[in-house]
Amino acid sequence: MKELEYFVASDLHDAFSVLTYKNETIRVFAGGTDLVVRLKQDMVREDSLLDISRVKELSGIYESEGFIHVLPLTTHTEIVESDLIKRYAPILRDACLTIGSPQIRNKGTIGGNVANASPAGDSIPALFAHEAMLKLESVSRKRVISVEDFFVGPGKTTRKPDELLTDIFFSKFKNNPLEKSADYKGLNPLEKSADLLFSNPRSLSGDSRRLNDTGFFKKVGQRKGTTISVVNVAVNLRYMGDNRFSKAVVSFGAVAPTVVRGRLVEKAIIDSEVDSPEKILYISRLAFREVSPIDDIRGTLEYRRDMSINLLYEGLLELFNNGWRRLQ
Amino acid sequence: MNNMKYVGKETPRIDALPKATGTIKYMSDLVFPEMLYARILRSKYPHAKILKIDSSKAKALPGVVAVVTHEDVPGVNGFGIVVPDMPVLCKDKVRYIGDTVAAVAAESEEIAERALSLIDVEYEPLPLVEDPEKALLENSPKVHENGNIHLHTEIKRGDPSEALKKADLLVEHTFYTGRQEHAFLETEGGVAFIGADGNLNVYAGSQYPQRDQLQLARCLSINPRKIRVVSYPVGGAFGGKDELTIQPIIGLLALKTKRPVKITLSREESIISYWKRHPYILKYKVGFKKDGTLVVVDATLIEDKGAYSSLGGPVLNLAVEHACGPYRVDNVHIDGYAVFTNNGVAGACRGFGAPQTSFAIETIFDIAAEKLGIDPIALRKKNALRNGDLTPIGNKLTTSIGTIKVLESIEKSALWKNRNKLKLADPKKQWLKRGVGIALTYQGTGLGVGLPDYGGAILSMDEDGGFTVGVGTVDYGQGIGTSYAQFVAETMHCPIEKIKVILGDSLLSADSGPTSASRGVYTGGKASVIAASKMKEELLSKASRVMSLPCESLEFGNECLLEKNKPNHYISFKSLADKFIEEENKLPMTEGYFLVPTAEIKIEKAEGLPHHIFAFSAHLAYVEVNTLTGEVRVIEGAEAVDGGVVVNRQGYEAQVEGGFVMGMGYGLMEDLIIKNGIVKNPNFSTYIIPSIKDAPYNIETIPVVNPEDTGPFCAKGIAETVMVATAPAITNAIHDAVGVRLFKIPATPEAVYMAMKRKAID
Repeated sequence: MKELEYFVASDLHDAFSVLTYKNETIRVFAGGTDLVVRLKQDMVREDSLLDISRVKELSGIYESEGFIHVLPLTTHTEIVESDLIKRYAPILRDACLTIGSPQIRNKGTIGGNVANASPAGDSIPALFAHEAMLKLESVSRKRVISVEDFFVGPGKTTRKPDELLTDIFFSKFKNNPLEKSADYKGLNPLEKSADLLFSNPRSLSGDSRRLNDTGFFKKVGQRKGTTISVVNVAVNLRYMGDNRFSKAVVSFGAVAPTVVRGRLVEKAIIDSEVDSPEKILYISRLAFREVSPIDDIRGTLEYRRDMSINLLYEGLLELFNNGWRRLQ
Repeated sequence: MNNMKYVGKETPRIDALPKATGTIKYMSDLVFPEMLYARILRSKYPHAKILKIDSSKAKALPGVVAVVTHEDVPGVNGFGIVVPDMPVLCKDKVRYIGDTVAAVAAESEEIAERALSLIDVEYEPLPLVEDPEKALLENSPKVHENGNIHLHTEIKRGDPSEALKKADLLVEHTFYTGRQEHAFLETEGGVAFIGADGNLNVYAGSQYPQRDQLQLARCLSINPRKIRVVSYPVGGAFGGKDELTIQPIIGLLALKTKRPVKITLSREESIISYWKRHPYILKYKVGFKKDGTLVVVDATLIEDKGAYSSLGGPVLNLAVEHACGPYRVDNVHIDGYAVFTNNGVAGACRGFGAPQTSFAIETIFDIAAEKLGIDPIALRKKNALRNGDLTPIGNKLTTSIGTIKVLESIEKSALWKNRNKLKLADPKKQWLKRGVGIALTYQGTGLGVGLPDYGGAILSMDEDGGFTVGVGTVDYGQGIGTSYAQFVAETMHCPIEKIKVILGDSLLSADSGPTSASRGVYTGGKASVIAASKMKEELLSKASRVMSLPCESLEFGNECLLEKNKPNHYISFKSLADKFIEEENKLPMTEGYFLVPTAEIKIEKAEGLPHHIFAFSAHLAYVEVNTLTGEVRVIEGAEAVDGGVVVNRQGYEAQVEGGFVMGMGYGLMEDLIIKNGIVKNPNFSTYIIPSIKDAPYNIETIPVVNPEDTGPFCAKGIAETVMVATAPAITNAIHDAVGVRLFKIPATPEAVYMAMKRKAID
């Protein structure tokens, strides 16, 4: 392992100063669960490290003005244990639960998982599903982009060398461009059952919409525990009743240079009555055209392509068999 | 064994506390004053000529104390348990990517690392030998000058070609098995230093200190008596530390620098550089009669030996011996080849050739049971070896044979009895299918005919009236230290807390042979019992003199000798110890040696064959297969195991559970991938072993008592058999669930999925 210069930022101001000064020659260190492994294998190009793990401003989960904010240094364990996440981002929770081992989840951060930009990063398709936004800041500017616009290729993002990822957030209730008119009629059975889950059911229209949200995160790896995804898929649906959906976000990981949206699948879900296993299979097979996997040590192209279809099929079928209610 | 106090009773490990609390010092924890750090320069090519080695720049680097190459090896530049063909440091040729070219000792690890990059080596790459089948061809490039066939063992009995023609059912398949990494927690490492007495001390975890000592003496050209090897404690071995690894290099550097030299391999270096389980290609033709009688086995076994011999020959021989499974068969043709390639190095690994053949023969038995419409246990019972039978290679079984017993026990297990009910999976998830699979196996205990096979123990009385037993075999997790303590405590009528055990020390413990071949408990244990019996005689005659009573009127009580029928008239061990010191100025010491009984016949050119004593096990796996992804979840497992008797229930269960999970890794996920001579998955994020989430929630241990009269308290050894048949039990269960056969392990999710997909297309 090569020798590196090591900077520890005690606050955000510190971090920006070092980052501006070192620019392209520095690598940001958050939880280190991936970076340390790469350092040991001499796979890190940069000559210095900026340890931001003690920057308190960058850690935590909170709700503000209809948005849920998950700050980048929040660990996977904190995400899994958060009530807000359980309520408003169950797909992200499911994804974070499958990352690494308890030790890795205790150290690894969501910001690290995102900024690392692995096509197999498990939190990323989940953030796609929740239509998350990212905030990137440098000393001189701030910008907010959709999570989908962040990734360029494996390990490559649109983050500028002097920028830090400072916020990950998503709306509690948000209009999807693909979403049909939101004034669907009446309550559906799903909402009733969901109401029972909470001691304080609210009648806000936004919350009722959330209660009609359903979906899943699934992955296939080489084993059950501490496993890297060979393929993963995250799906977020808004159910209207009668096997119809007003919204669908479908994203696949480890099947292309970046996590990808399955637009054809989404459109098919919204345009059809998803009322039989056969129809689910037909829709799932559209994933075939959305992915462009490669052969590598963990799996072949053919297996990955088939798994994009089959994981989607399995997940949708489970929901269908469960009356489109999310599986607990 | 109900009247016993320790043997057969649940006994906590004697090393549990220091291991659980982390206070035990493994070799990688050792630090000496003035200690140097070693690094090894390994080959850049899997097969190449070395044209030139220039280490002058490395030697000039400040902080570098020594750089050694082949020129510095004072003795034989080669080691190997059977054939010493593996160079300590390569001279004119490298044969795999981990081959050693030079080594550095420096003041820090970083300096040593930097020095490696300053050593100039000129290579001329040679054509690769990758495919063991192609390596057999006349025109193949050669890994060693004498050709690529390291060993050819052929066994023929009866008239196999005629029997194949006459068989009612012929099952013919080719099987492939993976290259399994031992995945011990502690990588190869240790410290070598010159002691105050001028002797070389090598502290490096391994499985046989006395053999390490002899091999090191040969390489380093010093009298073995001037070398002390301490090979305990060690953080796991599984056969991977039977052969030498880094010991000759740190020994050489310590001699050269006259300072302590330490090395601890990184996980990557460990995986790339040292021993693996041999991958096999197994071509089987097996014939049955309509009634299920096994009539013929014709098999060709091709072992990918890797670059150097080590134990590849004996592994092949054991595979040949176990190729037909524990079954009666009179027409046999087994043709085995151990073939050199540039695919790393392979050697001993738990099961030693049996897991490969077990996968093949047990799959064939499952196929035959299905095709003949016979229950898989009934088919196995019908053909099972019994006492008095000839084994497939022709030796008569006269020891404790547990084939039928383990089958009867597994048949009564809940998993087998309820297997039809258990096949029902979640009706809401039609894509999940469940099944139960069985496999039967056996494993020779000990080294077999033609190899010196003995146990040894030194027992000395301690001042407190307790005893210390020194046995050269090593406790690398299986718990033999505790077993030895149980045997001595039981024999000596002494509380186990007062028994000390010294393992794996060439100076302080007796040569008891290698800790391998499921022989630790059997050999070292028997030697300990013999040493203890002699100690009892010493104590008896001393007590007789002290108490002025004839020996016949004395008997052993708890920590004492007492006059028969007069329990108040006794002398404690402590008082006896005092008397010894007072009268003789020393405490008594005895030694026990034990020659392992062997079979009556000998197989020409096949060293180690046949075995005489066997452990038996029947394995069950209950799996759920996701037909959409090919993922296999092992829900439950069970093993009925005949290890003679149970010495320690906790240790027995731990062996079964550990063996089952290791076998599960072998069957479902583990394979070191080498392409173009390069290891593609040299760490634990790419080389996949089972995690706790993959382990079944329950593995039932069913001990089968079947006393072996020659063993200590009638015990045999179970260390290997418990893992051997797990892989075929799982692949047979996959077939039960989804109807596809796997002819290649590991059966990864992708492999299972593709097999199902191909079947659906057909």
